[in-house]
Amino acid sequence: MRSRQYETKLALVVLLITATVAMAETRKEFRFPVSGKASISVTNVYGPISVKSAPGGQVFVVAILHSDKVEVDQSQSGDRIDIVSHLLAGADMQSGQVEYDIQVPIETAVTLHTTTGALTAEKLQGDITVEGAAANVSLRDIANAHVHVKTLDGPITLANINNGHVEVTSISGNVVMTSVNGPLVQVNSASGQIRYDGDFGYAGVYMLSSHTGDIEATAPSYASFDVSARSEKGKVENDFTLEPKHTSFVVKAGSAFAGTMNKAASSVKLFSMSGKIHLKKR
Amino acid sequence: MTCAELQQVLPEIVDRDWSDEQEKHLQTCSECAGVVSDLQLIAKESHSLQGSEEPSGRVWQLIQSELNQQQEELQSIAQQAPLLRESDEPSERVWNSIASVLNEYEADGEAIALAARQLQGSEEPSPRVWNSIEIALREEGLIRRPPRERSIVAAFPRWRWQTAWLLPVAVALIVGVSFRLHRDNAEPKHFAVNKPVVPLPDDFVPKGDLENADLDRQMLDEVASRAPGLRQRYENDLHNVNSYIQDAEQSLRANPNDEEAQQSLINAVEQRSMLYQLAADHSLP
Repeated sequence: MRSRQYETKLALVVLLITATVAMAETRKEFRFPVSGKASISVTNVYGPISVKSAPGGQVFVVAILHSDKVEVDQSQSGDRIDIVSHLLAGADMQSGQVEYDIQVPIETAVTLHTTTGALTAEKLQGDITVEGAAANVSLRDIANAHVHVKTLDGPITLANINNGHVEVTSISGNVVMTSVNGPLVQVNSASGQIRYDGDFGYAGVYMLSSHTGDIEATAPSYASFDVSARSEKGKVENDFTLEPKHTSFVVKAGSAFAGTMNKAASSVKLFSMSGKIHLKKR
Repeated sequence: MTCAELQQVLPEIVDRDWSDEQEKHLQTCSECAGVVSDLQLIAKESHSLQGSEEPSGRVWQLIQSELNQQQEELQSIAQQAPLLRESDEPSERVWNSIASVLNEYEADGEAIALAARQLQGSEEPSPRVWNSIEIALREEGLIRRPPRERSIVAAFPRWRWQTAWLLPVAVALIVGVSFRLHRDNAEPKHFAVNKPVVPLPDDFVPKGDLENADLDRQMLDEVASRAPGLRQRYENDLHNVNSYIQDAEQSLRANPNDEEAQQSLINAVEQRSMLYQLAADHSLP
Protein backbone atom coordinates (compact mmCIF):
# COMPACT_ATOMS: atom_id res chain seq x y z
CA MET A 1 0.00 0.00 0.00
CA ARG A 2 2.67 2.45 0.99
CA SER A 3 4.77 1.43 -2.02
CA ARG A 4 1.78 1.99 -4.30
CA GLN A 5 1.28 5.43 -2.90
CA TYR A 6 4.94 6.13 -3.40
CA GLU A 7 4.81 4.99 -6.98
CA THR A 8 1.75 7.10 -7.63
CA LYS A 9 3.41 10.16 -6.21
CA LEU A 10 6.52 9.52 -8.25
CA ALA A 11 4.51 9.21 -11.44
CA LEU A 12 2.71 12.43 -10.69
CA VAL A 13 6.00 14.24 -10.11
CA VAL A 14 7.44 12.93 -13.39
CA LEU A 15 4.31 13.92 -15.20
CA LEU A 16 4.43 17.35 -13.69
CA ILE A 17 8.06 17.85 -14.67
CA THR A 18 7.43 16.72 -18.24
CA ALA A 19 4.47 19.00 -18.53
CA THR A 20 6.54 21.87 -17.19
CA VAL A 21 9.27 21.24 -19.69
CA ALA A 22 6.80 20.90 -22.54
CA MET A 23 5.15 24.13 -21.57
CA ALA A 24 8.49 25.88 -21.49
CA GLU A 25 9.29 24.77 -25.02
CA THR A 26 8.13 26.94 -27.85
CA ARG A 27 7.60 25.74 -31.36
CA LYS A 28 8.05 28.23 -34.14
CA GLU A 29 7.62 27.74 -37.85
CA PHE A 30 9.03 29.86 -40.65
CA ARG A 31 8.36 29.59 -44.35
CA PHE A 32 10.55 31.29 -46.89
CA PRO A 33 9.48 31.17 -50.54
CA VAL A 34 12.45 30.88 -52.88
CA SER A 35 12.99 30.65 -56.60
CA GLY A 36 16.05 29.19 -58.23
CA LYS A 37 19.05 28.09 -56.16
CA ALA A 38 18.62 29.21 -52.59
CA SER A 39 21.11 29.34 -49.75
CA ILE A 40 20.49 28.99 -46.05
CA SER A 41 22.82 29.66 -43.15
CA VAL A 42 21.97 28.44 -39.65
CA THR A 43 23.94 29.41 -36.57
CA ASN A 44 22.90 27.52 -33.49
CA VAL A 45 25.08 27.56 -30.39
CA TYR A 46 23.36 24.70 -28.61
CA GLY A 47 21.16 22.09 -30.18
CA PRO A 48 20.86 19.91 -33.23
CA ILE A 49 20.21 20.98 -36.79
CA SER A 50 18.66 18.64 -39.32
CA VAL A 51 18.38 19.55 -42.98
CA LYS A 52 16.77 17.50 -45.71
CA SER A 53 15.34 18.12 -49.10
CA ALA A 54 11.67 18.47 -49.86
CA PRO A 55 9.72 19.40 -52.96
CA GLY A 56 8.20 22.81 -53.36
CA GLY A 57 9.81 26.15 -53.83
CA GLN A 58 10.17 27.07 -50.20
CA VAL A 59 12.40 26.66 -47.19
CA PHE A 60 10.45 25.41 -44.20
CA VAL A 61 12.01 25.81 -40.77
CA VAL A 62 10.69 24.36 -37.55
CA ALA A 63 12.48 25.61 -34.44
CA ILE A 64 11.80 24.26 -30.95
CA LEU A 65 13.08 26.64 -28.32
CA HIS A 66 13.75 25.07 -24.98
CA SER A 67 13.24 28.21 -22.99
CA ASP A 68 12.52 31.87 -23.24
CA LYS A 69 16.20 32.60 -22.79
CA VAL A 70 16.81 32.08 -26.47
CA GLU A 71 15.18 33.55 -29.51
CA VAL A 72 15.41 32.90 -33.22
CA ASP A 73 16.44 35.74 -35.49
CA GLN A 74 15.52 35.05 -39.07
CA SER A 75 15.90 37.11 -42.24
CA GLN A 76 15.54 36.64 -45.96
CA SER A 77 17.19 38.57 -48.77
CA GLY A 78 16.02 37.22 -52.07
CA ASP A 79 16.93 33.56 -52.05
CA ARG A 80 19.37 33.89 -49.15
CA ILE A 81 18.07 32.94 -45.74
CA ASP A 82 19.81 33.57 -42.46
CA ILE A 83 18.79 31.97 -39.16
CA VAL A 84 20.58 32.68 -35.90
CA SER A 85 19.83 31.42 -32.39
CA HIS A 86 20.20 34.46 -30.22
CA LEU A 87 21.05 33.69 -26.60
CA LEU A 88 19.63 36.04 -24.01
CA ALA A 89 21.03 36.81 -20.60
CA GLY A 90 21.18 33.81 -18.33
CA ALA A 91 21.11 31.21 -21.09
CA ASP A 92 23.17 28.06 -20.67
CA MET A 93 23.65 24.83 -22.57
CA GLN A 94 20.19 23.58 -21.59
CA SER A 95 18.07 26.66 -21.61
CA GLY A 96 19.78 28.05 -24.70
CA GLN A 97 19.12 25.00 -26.77
CA VAL A 98 17.15 25.18 -30.03
CA GLU A 99 16.29 22.20 -32.16
CA TYR A 100 16.04 22.90 -35.87
CA ASP A 101 14.28 20.78 -38.45
CA ILE A 102 14.68 22.31 -41.88
CA GLN A 103 13.34 21.31 -45.29
CA VAL A 104 14.87 22.90 -48.37
CA PRO A 105 14.81 22.51 -52.16
CA ILE A 106 17.27 19.88 -53.25
CA GLU A 107 19.87 22.24 -54.74
CA THR A 108 19.97 24.60 -51.81
CA ALA A 109 23.40 25.57 -50.49
CA VAL A 110 23.51 24.83 -46.77
CA THR A 111 25.84 26.32 -44.15
CA LEU A 112 25.61 25.12 -40.56
CA HIS A 113 27.46 26.53 -37.55
CA THR A 114 27.20 25.13 -34.06
CA THR A 115 29.18 24.62 -30.90
CA THR A 116 27.59 21.44 -29.71
CA GLY A 117 24.81 19.44 -31.20
CA ALA A 118 24.20 17.02 -34.00
CA LEU A 119 24.43 18.36 -37.52
CA THR A 120 22.59 16.24 -40.05
CA ALA A 121 22.06 16.80 -43.75
CA GLU A 122 20.71 14.34 -46.27
CA LYS A 123 19.31 14.03 -49.78
CA LEU A 124 20.81 17.23 -51.04
CA GLN A 125 22.62 18.37 -54.18
CA GLY A 126 23.75 21.77 -53.12
CA ASP A 127 27.03 22.79 -51.48
CA ILE A 128 27.27 21.96 -47.80
CA THR A 129 29.50 23.66 -45.24
CA VAL A 130 29.43 22.39 -41.68
CA GLU A 131 31.46 23.79 -38.80
CA GLY A 132 31.26 22.86 -35.18
CA ALA A 133 33.63 22.60 -32.27
CA ALA A 134 32.10 19.51 -30.75
CA ALA A 135 29.46 18.83 -33.32
CA ASN A 136 28.47 15.34 -34.31
CA VAL A 137 28.29 15.56 -38.09
CA SER A 138 26.35 13.16 -40.30
CA LEU A 139 26.00 13.71 -44.04
CA ARG A 140 24.38 11.17 -46.33
CA ASP A 141 22.88 10.83 -49.80
CA ILE A 142 24.64 13.90 -51.14
CA ALA A 143 25.45 14.25 -54.83
CA ASN A 144 27.20 16.69 -57.15
CA ALA A 145 28.18 19.01 -54.35
CA HIS A 146 31.07 20.59 -52.53
CA VAL A 147 31.17 19.30 -48.98
CA HIS A 148 33.27 21.08 -46.35
CA VAL A 149 33.37 19.84 -42.78
CA LYS A 150 35.37 21.30 -39.91
CA THR A 151 35.23 20.06 -36.34
CA LEU A 152 37.53 20.03 -33.38
CA ASP A 153 36.66 16.70 -31.87
CA GLY A 154 33.18 15.91 -33.09
CA PRO A 155 32.88 12.65 -35.02
CA ILE A 156 32.15 12.89 -38.70
CA THR A 157 30.16 10.36 -40.72
CA LEU A 158 29.85 10.62 -44.49
CA ALA A 159 27.76 8.08 -46.38
CA ASN A 160 26.73 7.70 -50.00
CA ILE A 161 28.26 10.86 -51.34
CA ASN A 162 28.57 10.74 -55.11
CA ASN A 163 30.53 13.00 -57.41
CA GLY A 164 31.44 15.11 -54.44
CA HIS A 165 34.25 17.53 -53.78
CA VAL A 166 34.84 16.58 -50.15
CA GLU A 167 37.16 18.33 -47.72
CA VAL A 168 37.17 17.28 -44.07
CA THR A 169 39.34 18.75 -41.34
CA SER A 170 39.13 17.53 -37.78
CA ILE A 171 41.66 17.70 -35.00
CA SER A 172 40.61 14.78 -32.90
CA GLY A 173 37.29 13.69 -34.32
CA ASN A 174 37.05 10.32 -35.99
CA VAL A 175 36.10 10.38 -39.65
CA VAL A 176 34.11 7.50 -41.16
CA MET A 177 33.37 7.46 -44.89
CA THR A 178 31.18 4.89 -46.63
CA SER A 179 30.64 4.98 -50.40
CA VAL A 180 32.18 8.37 -50.82
CA ASN A 181 33.57 9.22 -54.22
CA GLY A 182 34.19 12.20 -56.39
CA PRO A 183 36.90 14.28 -58.05
CA LEU A 184 38.43 15.11 -54.67
CA VAL A 185 38.16 13.49 -51.25
CA GLN A 186 40.55 15.03 -48.76
CA VAL A 187 40.62 14.26 -45.05
CA ASN A 188 43.00 15.95 -42.66
CA SER A 189 42.99 14.70 -39.08
CA ALA A 190 45.44 15.20 -36.25
CA SER A 191 44.65 12.49 -33.73
CA GLY A 192 41.32 11.24 -35.02
CA GLN A 193 41.00 7.98 -36.89
CA ILE A 194 40.13 7.88 -40.54
CA ARG A 195 38.02 5.05 -41.97
CA TYR A 196 37.20 4.75 -45.66
CA ASP A 197 35.03 2.05 -47.20
CA GLY A 198 34.46 2.42 -50.91
CA ASP A 199 35.86 1.79 -54.36
CA PHE A 200 37.64 5.14 -54.83
CA GLY A 201 35.37 5.98 -57.74
CA TYR A 202 36.83 6.96 -61.08
CA ALA A 203 39.38 9.66 -61.88
CA GLY A 204 39.35 11.05 -58.36
CA VAL A 205 42.06 12.16 -55.96
CA TYR A 206 41.84 10.73 -52.46
CA MET A 207 44.16 12.18 -49.81
CA LEU A 208 43.83 10.82 -46.27
CA SER A 209 46.37 12.17 -43.82
CA SER A 210 46.76 12.23 -40.06
CA HIS A 211 49.23 13.03 -37.36
CA THR A 212 48.75 10.22 -34.88
CA GLY A 213 45.41 8.81 -35.96
CA ASP A 214 45.17 5.44 -37.70
CA ILE A 215 44.07 5.27 -41.31
CA GLU A 216 42.12 2.30 -42.61
CA ALA A 217 40.94 2.11 -46.21
CA THR A 218 38.80 -0.81 -47.41
CA ALA A 219 38.19 -1.33 -51.11
CA PRO A 220 36.89 -4.15 -53.34
CA SER A 221 39.19 -6.15 -55.58
CA TYR A 222 37.78 -4.45 -58.68
CA ALA A 223 38.74 -1.01 -57.42
CA SER A 224 41.03 0.89 -59.79
CA PHE A 225 43.58 3.12 -58.10
CA ASP A 226 47.15 4.29 -57.89
CA VAL A 227 48.18 4.25 -54.23
CA SER A 228 51.03 5.70 -52.21
CA ALA A 229 51.01 5.02 -48.49
CA ARG A 230 53.50 5.93 -45.82
CA SER A 231 53.73 6.27 -42.07
CA GLU A 232 56.79 7.97 -40.56
CA LYS A 233 56.72 6.10 -37.29
CA GLY A 234 53.79 3.71 -37.57
CA LYS A 235 53.13 0.41 -39.29
CA VAL A 236 51.85 0.04 -42.83
CA GLU A 237 49.85 -2.93 -44.15
CA ASN A 238 48.55 -3.74 -47.59
CA ASP A 239 46.16 -6.54 -48.61
CA PHE A 240 46.33 -5.86 -52.37
CA THR A 241 48.79 -7.21 -54.87
CA LEU A 242 49.87 -4.00 -56.45
CA GLU A 243 51.62 -3.47 -59.76
CA PRO A 244 54.84 -1.54 -59.31
CA LYS A 245 54.97 1.94 -60.75
CA HIS A 246 57.69 4.31 -61.78
CA THR A 247 57.75 6.91 -59.04
CA SER A 248 60.04 8.92 -56.84
CA PHE A 249 58.11 7.63 -53.85
CA VAL A 250 60.46 5.62 -51.70
CA VAL A 251 59.07 2.19 -50.94
CA LYS A 252 60.10 0.78 -47.62
CA ALA A 253 58.76 -2.47 -46.28
CA GLY A 254 56.60 -1.96 -43.23
CA SER A 255 56.67 1.82 -43.56
CA ALA A 256 55.67 2.65 -47.09
CA PHE A 257 54.26 1.02 -50.21
CA ALA A 258 53.17 2.20 -53.64
CA GLY A 259 51.66 0.66 -56.73
CA THR A 260 48.68 0.42 -58.98
CA MET A 261 45.59 -1.70 -59.02
CA ASN A 262 43.71 -2.52 -62.22
CA LYS A 263 43.77 0.57 -64.46
CA ALA A 264 44.80 3.06 -61.76
CA ALA A 265 41.81 5.25 -62.43
CA SER A 266 42.00 7.19 -59.18
CA SER A 267 44.92 8.49 -57.13
CA VAL A 268 45.03 7.49 -53.45
CA LYS A 269 47.50 8.92 -50.96
CA LEU A 270 47.58 7.67 -47.38
CA PHE A 271 49.96 9.40 -45.04
CA SER A 272 50.41 9.50 -41.30
CA MET A 273 53.22 10.70 -39.10
CA SER A 274 52.86 8.09 -36.43
CA GLY A 275 49.54 6.40 -37.01
CA LYS A 276 48.99 2.97 -38.49
CA ILE A 277 47.93 2.60 -42.13
CA HIS A 278 46.03 -0.39 -43.44
CA LEU A 279 44.80 -0.85 -47.02
CA LYS A 280 42.25 -3.67 -46.74
CA LYS A 281 40.63 -5.71 -49.45
CA ARG A 282 36.89 -6.21 -49.02
CA MET B 1 17.73 135.38 -139.05
CA THR B 2 18.69 132.10 -140.53
CA CYS B 3 16.92 128.77 -140.21
CA ALA B 4 19.68 127.45 -137.95
CA GLU B 5 19.37 130.32 -135.58
CA LEU B 6 15.62 129.89 -135.40
CA GLN B 7 15.72 126.13 -134.88
CA GLN B 8 18.25 126.59 -132.13
CA VAL B 9 15.84 128.60 -129.99
CA LEU B 10 12.74 126.94 -131.27
CA PRO B 11 12.04 124.67 -128.24
CA GLU B 12 12.13 127.70 -126.00
CA ILE B 13 9.76 129.89 -128.01
CA VAL B 14 7.38 127.35 -129.38
CA ASP B 15 4.76 128.22 -126.77
CA ARG B 16 5.56 131.96 -126.50
CA ASP B 17 5.18 135.00 -128.69
CA TRP B 18 7.51 135.38 -131.54
CA SER B 19 9.78 138.33 -132.19
CA ASP B 20 9.35 140.37 -135.35
CA GLU B 21 12.46 138.91 -136.84
CA GLN B 22 11.37 135.39 -136.01
CA GLU B 23 7.90 136.01 -137.37
CA LYS B 24 9.27 137.54 -140.50
CA HIS B 25 11.47 134.42 -141.00
CA LEU B 26 8.56 132.11 -140.48
CA GLN B 27 6.61 133.97 -143.10
CA THR B 28 9.39 133.62 -145.57
CA CYS B 29 10.62 130.11 -144.60
CA SER B 30 8.06 127.37 -145.10
CA GLU B 31 10.30 124.73 -143.66
CA CYS B 32 10.76 126.41 -140.34
CA ALA B 33 7.07 127.19 -140.30
CA GLY B 34 6.28 123.54 -140.74
CA VAL B 35 8.58 122.59 -137.91
CA VAL B 36 7.02 125.18 -135.67
CA SER B 37 3.52 123.94 -136.43
CA ASP B 38 4.56 120.35 -135.70
CA LEU B 39 6.07 121.36 -132.46
CA GLN B 40 3.03 123.28 -131.46
CA LEU B 41 0.85 120.32 -132.31
CA ILE B 42 3.03 117.93 -130.23
CA ALA B 43 2.99 120.27 -127.32
CA LYS B 44 -0.75 120.57 -127.48
CA GLU B 45 -1.24 116.83 -127.72
CA SER B 46 1.15 116.12 -124.90
CA HIS B 47 -0.85 118.19 -122.51
CA SER B 48 -4.04 116.40 -123.33
CA LEU B 49 -2.26 113.04 -123.22
CA GLN B 50 -1.04 113.50 -119.65
CA GLY B 51 -4.45 114.12 -118.46
CA SER B 52 -5.94 111.25 -120.39
CA GLU B 53 -3.41 108.48 -119.19
CA GLU B 54 -3.93 108.85 -115.46
CA PRO B 55 -6.38 106.02 -114.59
CA SER B 56 -9.53 107.15 -113.17
CA GLY B 57 -10.70 106.13 -109.71
CA ARG B 58 -12.96 103.62 -111.23
CA VAL B 59 -10.03 101.91 -112.89
CA TRP B 60 -8.16 101.80 -109.63
CA GLN B 61 -11.17 100.32 -107.99
CA LEU B 62 -11.46 97.74 -110.67
CA ILE B 63 -7.82 96.88 -110.27
CA GLN B 64 -8.20 96.73 -106.51
CA SER B 65 -11.20 94.50 -106.73
CA GLU B 66 -9.37 92.27 -109.18
CA LEU B 67 -6.44 91.98 -106.80
CA ASN B 68 -8.74 91.24 -103.89
CA GLN B 69 -10.42 88.54 -105.88
CA GLN B 70 -7.15 86.93 -106.78
CA GLN B 71 -6.06 87.12 -103.16
CA GLU B 72 -9.22 85.34 -102.09
CA GLU B 73 -8.70 82.68 -104.67
CA LEU B 74 -5.17 82.10 -103.47
CA GLN B 75 -6.36 81.80 -99.89
CA SER B 76 -9.04 79.35 -100.83
CA ILE B 77 -6.49 77.34 -102.77
CA ALA B 78 -4.17 77.33 -99.74
CA GLN B 79 -7.02 76.18 -97.52
CA GLN B 80 -8.04 73.51 -99.91
CA ALA B 81 -4.49 72.33 -100.61
CA PRO B 82 -4.27 69.89 -97.65
CA LEU B 83 -7.63 68.50 -98.55
CA LEU B 84 -6.56 68.46 -102.10
CA ARG B 85 -3.45 66.35 -101.19
CA GLU B 86 -5.55 63.68 -99.57
CA SER B 87 -8.08 63.78 -102.24
CA ASP B 88 -5.32 63.55 -104.79
CA GLU B 89 -4.06 60.17 -103.44
CA PRO B 90 -4.26 57.98 -106.45
CA SER B 91 -6.88 55.33 -106.39
CA GLU B 92 -6.04 51.69 -106.54
CA ARG B 93 -6.92 51.65 -110.19
CA VAL B 94 -4.36 54.32 -110.84
CA TRP B 95 -1.70 52.40 -108.94
CA ASN B 96 -2.53 49.29 -110.85
CA SER B 97 -2.19 51.10 -114.09
CA ILE B 98 1.14 52.54 -112.99
CA ALA B 99 2.27 49.07 -112.00
CA SER B 100 1.24 47.63 -115.30
CA VAL B 101 3.14 50.33 -117.11
CA LEU B 102 6.21 49.61 -115.03
CA ASN B 103 5.87 45.93 -115.76
CA GLU B 104 5.70 46.70 -119.44
CA TYR B 105 8.83 48.78 -119.17
CA GLU B 106 10.54 45.95 -117.31
CA ALA B 107 9.51 43.41 -119.91
CA ASP B 108 10.72 45.68 -122.61
CA GLY B 109 14.03 46.03 -120.83
CA GLU B 110 14.43 42.28 -120.56
CA ALA B 111 13.58 41.85 -124.19
CA ILE B 112 16.12 44.43 -125.11
CA ALA B 113 18.74 42.73 -122.97
CA LEU B 114 17.96 39.38 -124.54
CA ALA B 115 18.14 40.83 -127.97
CA ALA B 116 21.44 42.45 -127.05
CA ARG B 117 22.90 39.15 -125.97
CA GLN B 118 21.75 37.48 -129.12
CA LEU B 119 23.03 40.36 -131.07
CA GLN B 120 26.42 40.00 -129.42
CA GLY B 121 26.54 36.38 -130.37
CA SER B 122 25.39 37.04 -133.84
CA GLU B 123 27.82 39.83 -134.36
CA GLU B 124 30.85 38.02 -132.96
CA PRO B 125 33.15 37.55 -135.94
CA SER B 126 33.87 33.98 -136.89
CA PRO B 127 37.32 32.51 -136.32
CA ARG B 128 37.99 32.66 -140.06
CA VAL B 129 37.49 36.37 -139.93
CA TRP B 130 39.89 36.71 -137.00
CA ASN B 131 42.50 34.65 -138.77
CA SER B 132 42.30 36.74 -141.87
CA ILE B 133 42.61 39.86 -139.75
CA GLU B 134 45.66 38.45 -138.05
CA ILE B 135 47.30 37.52 -141.34
CA ALA B 136 46.71 40.97 -142.62
CA LEU B 137 48.18 42.57 -139.54
CA ARG B 138 51.25 40.37 -139.74
CA GLU B 139 51.78 41.23 -143.34
CA GLU B 140 51.62 44.83 -142.30
CA GLY B 141 54.22 44.13 -139.62
CA LEU B 142 52.00 45.36 -136.86
CA ILE B 143 52.11 42.11 -134.86
CA ARG B 144 54.81 39.48 -134.49
CA ARG B 145 54.79 35.89 -133.26
CA PRO B 146 55.69 35.57 -129.51
CA PRO B 147 58.96 33.83 -128.71
CA ARG B 148 58.65 30.12 -127.92
CA GLU B 149 58.57 29.35 -124.12
CA ARG B 150 61.25 26.97 -122.94
CA SER B 151 60.13 24.21 -120.53
CA ILE B 152 61.71 23.84 -117.17
CA VAL B 153 63.24 20.60 -118.23
CA ALA B 154 64.89 22.18 -121.17
CA ALA B 155 66.07 25.10 -119.08
CA PHE B 156 68.23 23.00 -116.84
CA PRO B 157 71.52 21.74 -118.17
CA ARG B 158 72.07 18.05 -118.25
CA TRP B 159 74.53 17.97 -115.37
CA ARG B 160 72.05 19.61 -113.05
CA TRP B 161 69.47 16.89 -113.67
CA GLN B 162 71.99 14.28 -112.71
CA THR B 163 72.26 15.75 -109.19
CA ALA B 164 68.69 17.09 -108.79
CA TRP B 165 67.55 13.90 -107.05
CA LEU B 166 69.57 14.99 -104.06
CA LEU B 167 67.09 17.79 -103.32
CA PRO B 168 64.08 15.71 -102.25
CA VAL B 169 66.34 13.38 -100.36
CA ALA B 170 67.79 16.31 -98.42
CA VAL B 171 64.32 17.64 -97.67
CA ALA B 172 63.22 14.24 -96.37
CA LEU B 173 66.26 14.03 -94.14
CA ILE B 174 65.67 17.46 -92.70
CA VAL B 175 62.01 16.70 -92.01
CA GLY B 176 62.86 13.41 -90.38
CA VAL B 177 65.51 14.88 -88.12
CA SER B 178 63.23 17.74 -87.12
CA PHE B 179 60.44 15.33 -86.30
CA ARG B 180 62.75 13.21 -84.24
CA LEU B 181 64.05 16.19 -82.31
CA HIS B 182 60.53 17.44 -81.63
CA ARG B 183 59.40 14.06 -80.38
CA ASP B 184 62.31 13.79 -78.02
CA ASN B 185 61.55 17.19 -76.55
CA ALA B 186 57.86 16.37 -76.16
CA GLU B 187 58.43 13.19 -74.19
CA PRO B 188 57.94 13.71 -70.49
CA LYS B 189 61.05 13.53 -68.50
CA HIS B 190 61.10 10.98 -65.76
CA PHE B 191 61.72 12.30 -62.34
CA ALA B 192 64.98 11.24 -60.87
CA VAL B 193 64.54 8.97 -57.89
CA ASN B 194 67.27 10.67 -55.92
CA LYS B 195 66.98 14.42 -55.78
CA PRO B 196 69.70 16.63 -54.36
CA VAL B 197 68.95 17.51 -50.77
CA VAL B 198 68.71 21.22 -50.15
CA PRO B 199 68.87 22.13 -46.48
CA LEU B 200 66.14 24.43 -45.31
CA PRO B 201 67.02 27.76 -43.76
CA ASP B 202 66.11 28.30 -40.14
CA ASP B 203 63.39 30.79 -40.99
CA PHE B 204 61.85 28.58 -43.64
CA VAL B 205 58.58 28.70 -41.73
CA PRO B 206 58.28 31.79 -39.54
CA LYS B 207 57.85 30.81 -35.95
CA GLY B 208 55.09 33.28 -35.46
CA ASP B 209 52.98 31.37 -37.89
CA LEU B 210 53.51 28.08 -36.15
CA GLU B 211 53.62 28.61 -32.43
CA ASN B 212 52.90 31.61 -30.35
CA ALA B 213 52.28 30.93 -26.67
CA ASP B 214 50.89 34.38 -26.00
CA LEU B 215 48.49 34.12 -28.87
CA ASP B 216 47.40 30.69 -27.75
CA ARG B 217 46.76 31.95 -24.24
CA GLN B 218 44.71 34.85 -25.52
CA MET B 219 42.64 32.53 -27.64
CA LEU B 220 41.95 30.17 -24.76
CA ASP B 221 41.02 33.04 -22.48
CA GLU B 222 38.61 34.31 -25.07
CA VAL B 223 37.00 30.90 -25.37
CA ALA B 224 36.79 30.60 -21.60
CA SER B 225 35.06 33.97 -21.31
CA ARG B 226 32.41 32.93 -23.77
CA ALA B 227 32.08 29.21 -23.10
CA PRO B 228 33.94 28.13 -19.93
CA GLY B 229 33.00 24.49 -20.49
CA LEU B 230 34.86 24.44 -23.79
CA ARG B 231 38.18 25.80 -22.64
CA GLN B 232 39.65 22.45 -21.72
CA ARG B 233 38.54 20.96 -25.02
CA TYR B 234 40.19 23.76 -26.95
CA GLU B 235 43.31 23.46 -24.90
CA ASN B 236 43.63 19.74 -25.60
CA ASP B 237 43.12 20.24 -29.31
CA LEU B 238 45.60 23.09 -29.35
CA HIS B 239 48.16 20.83 -27.76
CA ASN B 240 47.48 18.20 -30.42
CA VAL B 241 47.88 20.68 -33.20
CA ASN B 242 51.09 22.19 -31.90
CA SER B 243 52.70 18.77 -31.54
CA TYR B 244 51.53 18.00 -35.09
CA ILE B 245 53.25 21.12 -36.33
CA GLN B 246 56.44 20.30 -34.49
CA ASP B 247 56.59 16.78 -35.88
CA ALA B 248 55.80 17.97 -39.40
CA GLU B 249 58.45 20.64 -39.26
CA GLN B 250 60.98 18.17 -37.97
CA SER B 251 60.14 15.74 -40.75
CA LEU B 252 60.42 18.44 -43.37
CA ARG B 253 63.83 19.56 -42.13
CA ALA B 254 65.04 15.99 -42.37
CA ASN B 255 63.62 15.59 -45.87
CA PRO B 256 63.13 19.00 -47.49
CA ASN B 257 62.19 17.53 -50.85
CA ASP B 258 59.69 15.10 -49.41
CA GLU B 259 56.31 16.03 -50.80
CA GLU B 260 54.45 14.17 -48.08
CA ALA B 261 56.42 16.02 -45.41
CA GLN B 262 55.60 19.31 -47.06
CA GLN B 263 51.94 18.39 -47.21
CA SER B 264 51.98 17.34 -43.57
CA LEU B 265 53.24 20.72 -42.46
CA ILE B 266 50.58 22.40 -44.56
CA ASN B 267 47.93 20.19 -42.99
CA ALA B 268 49.18 20.91 -39.49
CA VAL B 269 49.17 24.64 -40.01
CA GLU B 270 45.73 24.37 -41.55
CA GLN B 271 44.47 22.64 -38.44
CA ARG B 272 45.84 25.35 -36.20
CA SER B 273 44.20 27.92 -38.39
CA MET B 274 40.91 26.05 -38.15
CA LEU B 275 41.17 25.93 -34.38
CA TYR B 276 41.57 29.68 -34.19
CA GLN B 277 38.77 30.18 -36.63
CA LEU B 278 36.35 28.08 -34.63
CA ALA B 279 37.40 29.88 -31.47
CA ALA B 280 36.47 33.18 -33.04
CA ASP B 281 33.35 31.79 -34.66
CA HIS B 282 30.09 33.50 -33.87
CA SER B 283 28.62 30.10 -33.08
CA LEU B 284 30.26 30.37 -29.68
CA PRO B 285 27.98 31.80 -27.06
